[in-house]
Amino acid sequence: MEELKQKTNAHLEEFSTQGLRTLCCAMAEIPDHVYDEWQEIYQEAATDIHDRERLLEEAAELIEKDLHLLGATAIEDKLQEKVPETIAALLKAGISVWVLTGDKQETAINIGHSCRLLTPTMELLIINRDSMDTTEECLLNYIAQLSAASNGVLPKDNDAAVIVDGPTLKFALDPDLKDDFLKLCCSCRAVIVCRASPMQKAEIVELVTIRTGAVTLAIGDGANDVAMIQKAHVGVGISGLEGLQASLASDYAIAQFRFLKKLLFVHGAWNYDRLTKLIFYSYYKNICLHMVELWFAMYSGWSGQIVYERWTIGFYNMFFTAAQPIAMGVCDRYCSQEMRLKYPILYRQNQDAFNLKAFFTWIGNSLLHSMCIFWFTYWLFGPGVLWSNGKVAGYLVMGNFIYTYVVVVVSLKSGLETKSWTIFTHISIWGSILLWFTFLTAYSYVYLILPIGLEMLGIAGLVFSAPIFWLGLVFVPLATLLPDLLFKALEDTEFQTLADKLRQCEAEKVHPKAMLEKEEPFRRPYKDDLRNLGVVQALDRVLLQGYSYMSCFFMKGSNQAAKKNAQTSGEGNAGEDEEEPEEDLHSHFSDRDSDSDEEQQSALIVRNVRLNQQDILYIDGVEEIELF
Amino acid sequence: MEVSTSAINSTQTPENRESKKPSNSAFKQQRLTAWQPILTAGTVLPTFFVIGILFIPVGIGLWFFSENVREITIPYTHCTSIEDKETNRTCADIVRNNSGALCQCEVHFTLDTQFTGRVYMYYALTNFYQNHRRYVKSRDDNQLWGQIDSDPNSDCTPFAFDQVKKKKIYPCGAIANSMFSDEISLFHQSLDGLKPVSLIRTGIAWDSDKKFKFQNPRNYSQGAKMWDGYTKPKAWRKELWELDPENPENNGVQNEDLIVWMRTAALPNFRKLYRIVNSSAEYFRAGLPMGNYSLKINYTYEVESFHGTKSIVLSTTSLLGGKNPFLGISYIVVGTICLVLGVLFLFIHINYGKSTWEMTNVDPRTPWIAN
Repeated sequence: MEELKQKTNAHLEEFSTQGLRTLCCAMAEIPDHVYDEWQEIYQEAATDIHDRERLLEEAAELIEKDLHLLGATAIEDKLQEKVPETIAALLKAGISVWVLTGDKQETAINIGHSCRLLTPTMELLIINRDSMDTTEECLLNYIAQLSAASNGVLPKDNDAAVIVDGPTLKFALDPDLKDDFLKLCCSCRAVIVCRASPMQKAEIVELVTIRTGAVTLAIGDGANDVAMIQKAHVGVGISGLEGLQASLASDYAIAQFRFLKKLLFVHGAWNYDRLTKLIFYSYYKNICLHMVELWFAMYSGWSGQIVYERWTIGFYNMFFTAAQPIAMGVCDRYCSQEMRLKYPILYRQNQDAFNLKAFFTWIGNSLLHSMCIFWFTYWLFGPGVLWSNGKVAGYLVMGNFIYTYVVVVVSLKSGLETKSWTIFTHISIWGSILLWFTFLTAYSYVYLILPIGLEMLGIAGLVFSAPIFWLGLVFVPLATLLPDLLFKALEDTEFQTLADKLRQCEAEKVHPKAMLEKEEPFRRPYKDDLRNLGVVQALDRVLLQGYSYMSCFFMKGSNQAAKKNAQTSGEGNAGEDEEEPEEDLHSHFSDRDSDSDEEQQSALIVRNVRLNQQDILYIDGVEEIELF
Repeated sequence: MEVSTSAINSTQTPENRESKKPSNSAFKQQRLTAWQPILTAGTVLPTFFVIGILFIPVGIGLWFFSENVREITIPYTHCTSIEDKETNRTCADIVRNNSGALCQCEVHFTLDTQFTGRVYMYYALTNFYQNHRRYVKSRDDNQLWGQIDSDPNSDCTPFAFDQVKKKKIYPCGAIANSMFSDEISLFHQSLDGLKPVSLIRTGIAWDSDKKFKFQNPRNYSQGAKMWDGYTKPKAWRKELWELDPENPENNGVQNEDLIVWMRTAALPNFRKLYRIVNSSAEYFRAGLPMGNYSLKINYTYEVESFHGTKSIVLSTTSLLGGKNPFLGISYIVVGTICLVLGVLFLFIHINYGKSTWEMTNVDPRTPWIAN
């Protein structure tokens, strides 16, 4: 018996280190009469109203004993296609990835390695204890260990991963230890929870969702993932071999794990940007229109007289400014799909676009616009003699002037904010303006047919026959939007965001590689040293032959980062070619993020030079050169 | 119990299985062709220059248009009464507590240049809030269209019923009640003595108003049946049929002065068209010549109680209407600003901007990139 157990154990170890899913098989012989007795108890338990679960468990306990171990089986649960790439992309985008699985620890670690969540250099902090005290001790130890390097303060991004066992998790989620546990997990790059029950998965997700205030996404494919999918902010279910349970309970259902990349980086980012713009724009356009009434009240004795005709106000949101937010919210694309998939870092850039500061900027902008529109029209209007026939206009003429200018300004503003003008953008902008003109004309003469709109009778004739109206139509929107245009141009020139840089590259059809390298004005005499090493000659030779791009970058800071990148690049070379630009990008950014005041040591690492995608010349031997 | 979906699908043959693949249209797959506006200094530059170059001449042209309009404002709120020249009593004093009192006064002014073309005479009021909400509401459009069968609209209160005469008011409302009632005539001091300037009273209201909003009741002359139940507004000195003694067509609610008054002004300092100088008269064919003029005013309209003022404005018009230099000046200003910005951006672009071509092409002269 013991021997069998030991053998089976050994097999299990072997299987799980290979990353296979293990199952033990055991049997027991049950005579009929025992079974019949038990069946009654079980039936009772199954039909109980109050304590069904507990009674079922107890009933199961009665029969599941004295089992005879048969052996172990192992299944290879193949990772779906492209899972490692997806996870790598997620990590690059600054998304923390935690794996919650029901597998054993070794299996989980192995899977972690194979999907590139865990890198070989990562420190694995394994928490696998069986009592509260030992768990606490272990946790605090790890925390102390990590904060040793930085004076007792837990650094934000450790090159470590936490591996927690299911039973240990029970202790770790205890109210006393919860905070420490969470702190430790959040400071590490990856977290793997193995042997987690569905309840525990949900508990962890809930803990993170509530405590950290971050937006959480839970993705799973089986019925055991339903609880956690529901607890997270966004639940994604993978519909497929394991059934539809998860996808039925989720907010989004996708067919394969790798589609998550597109879901997040393309649709998620686009929709976030669209929604932000749509919401801000809706506030903007209404404030722009209605604030004019406040300014007019200054001139109408604060009596509350509206300067527009009441039905035009009613139709503003329904007809004349309905298309613009829809076009922005449905069709706008901030940076193309290809760019977003290629450079996951873009996902990180726009994460906080919907904040108070942006909101108040828009509100201030709309107030400014309403003031400009009102006072420009007020000065244009003057004493009201706008025609060569000397006749004078009333308040409705001024009101319609202002309304027209508002519609035009608001439409053009939506165009200014749109990052990609599709046919629908054009329709929404020019179409809305045209619709307003048509409506004004129709409404001015509808009284001849129906008994409505007496106030507006003939207004279109008055408004359109005044040359000042048309001159104002060119002047007022332009003068109002000029500061906006100016601000945008300055912003794009001086403070161009990465997404905009990539957009520009795409629009001008150049490879973004060189665009991403920030140029510094001063030179340092590296050239001579490199010439001596023959590197530059090699490069010169290569560059003379047609299109080439060079993946080379300079880093400042410690050599540690250099070594790490050299290593990951070594692994990456085996993968796809598109990976490299990303990694440069990644280090480009990580170096910018890390503030290092050390003396500027630069290292030139030329990893490879590609030539017309046919001749691949690796200059791998030159791994690291220290130059001073 | 998880059920594999593939088991269900396998019962259908490939031919009659409906494809669940979403349609591949450009709209649904978000592949619509789009133009990406890149608003860097380099791309916005041409716009600024174009605007600057276009706007400045247009602005100068517009400013000249405005400068060519001749305009003169003659205030007369506190003009002295002709009868009381010794005591220097102003018409304002006389009219102050005496509604219905008539005072005559005379105002002299000089035109420094000839006013060529059609000359329009306006009366200008200040601090008069014709755009007040209750005021704008206070009218009865049915009455103005000639329907006298029903009671006045409740919006007209408290100007709908005359308590003293116990009759309904026609036309009711605050707007009609406060109609401008001064009568002004213009005289030119020529070599042959004082010449009256002939003024036209019609053609001052908008055609759409005249045709579709104002119509007299069938019989509104003195002694007509309607006056059994109706009376004129309290503040009026004249009866409805007396508004224009010269032209019977221009009487009643179809009187153009009333129509012009009923179109409520946009701002508290406004002017309304009063008369047009008759250019078919012999001496004034080319407009109003230079020289001395005088206005004879039958002063009945009281404005002191709300701290308002009255003036007469004589003005020619241009294609763009009355005198208003704002448009011309604003075009010039915006054009100048755009030019300045264009130059500034050009400077920024040349010195600090880098074209993508430069950045992506490595040649022996490329500066070494260093950190």
